[in-house]
Amino acid sequence: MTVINYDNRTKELFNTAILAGELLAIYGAETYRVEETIIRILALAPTGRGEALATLTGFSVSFDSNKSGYLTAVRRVNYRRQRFDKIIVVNEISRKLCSGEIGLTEAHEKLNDLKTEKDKTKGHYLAMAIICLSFTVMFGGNWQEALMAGLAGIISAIALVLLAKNDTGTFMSDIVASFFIALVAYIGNYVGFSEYNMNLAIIGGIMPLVPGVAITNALFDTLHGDYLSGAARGLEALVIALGIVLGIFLGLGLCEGLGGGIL
Amino acid sequence: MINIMIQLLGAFLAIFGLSIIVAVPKKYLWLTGLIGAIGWGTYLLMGNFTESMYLSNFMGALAIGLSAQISARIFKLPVTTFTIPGIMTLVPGSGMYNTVYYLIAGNELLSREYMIQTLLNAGSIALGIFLMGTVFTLVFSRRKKHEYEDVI
Repeated sequence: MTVINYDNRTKELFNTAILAGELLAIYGAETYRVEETIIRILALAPTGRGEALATLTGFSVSFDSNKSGYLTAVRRVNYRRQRFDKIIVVNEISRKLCSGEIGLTEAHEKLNDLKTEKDKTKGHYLAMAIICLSFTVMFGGNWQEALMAGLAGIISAIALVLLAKNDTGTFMSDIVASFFIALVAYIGNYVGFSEYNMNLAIIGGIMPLVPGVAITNALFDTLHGDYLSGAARGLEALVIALGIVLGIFLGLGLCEGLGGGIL
Repeated sequence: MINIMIQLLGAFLAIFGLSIIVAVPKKYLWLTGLIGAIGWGTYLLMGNFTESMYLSNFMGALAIGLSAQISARIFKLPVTTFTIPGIMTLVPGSGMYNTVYYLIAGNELLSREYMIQTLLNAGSIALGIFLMGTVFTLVFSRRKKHEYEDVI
């Protein structure tokens, strides 16, 4: 049996590279940024060659150090969310590491700190209300529709934050969030508004959820040559849209079923 | 005129809010909102010259790509920090929704129509952003080849 001894420094470099890649993948960076960051950090080793292959749902890295054999890691990325503040910090750390401004140990520690840091969702409720309100007005809605869409936005944001705490997948949380949007928009029919179009309030309310960026990123990745990620993002967009439609159907179905009795 | 002002203000506020959701750092929120309003303004302006929604989207994406690339180079941030919030008013999210909505509601013809429209719109926007990125990489990256390219 041969015992392979990696020197500690190579091991730490490798760990830093996969940690940076994992953080980027979790926080919704583009596929090529994940790959490039890992390869650049591994290129800091004096000898050997690093390679990374990333898709939307995970990545694998291998490092061929000439004297002591291969190092390999696979990371599965289950729960992704778009957070630019984190992407910017990882990018900064990796840039400083590669230009020699900070050492390897310091970079590794900073990345670890970032991983344990909790996501801040403080401004989300107000932001969701503003988004839904603005989109409804842009689509030609009046103040009544905009008001109900804004309300629907706040309620769906509360649902999304609560569900994210329990690690529910995006599919289920989209169903629940859009269910509440349909509910709030339907109630608008019964509070004495004079010119109220429920469909406009629904469209405005679901605008923060709809997978427009996902489908555009799918085509962007495909143009970039990342065919696997492109196809995966296209499917992701389809599943998100399916979740929203199911939620709306459920909500409206329930309301119309109860409509004769309660409302 | 008032209508256009409302549209631009709406785009600015919508993108401002969406930037909060995707956690763009606080001091750049006004900028992503502005880039979004520029893109939406270009899209509306193109409506005067062409019937094609795809061409309007493409030009809007070019405008967003240009302003995002310039901002990314000034503030030394990854360019997606500005492009992704910027395109959020143009992207065919409601098209994607309508595709699945009519598929489940049993109207396959309408669903197919929305699907093709959604794919072409997304393609136009992706192409605009991609093209602007390529132009900037060709022009600016040759000089400093050995530096770490943090803005691609």
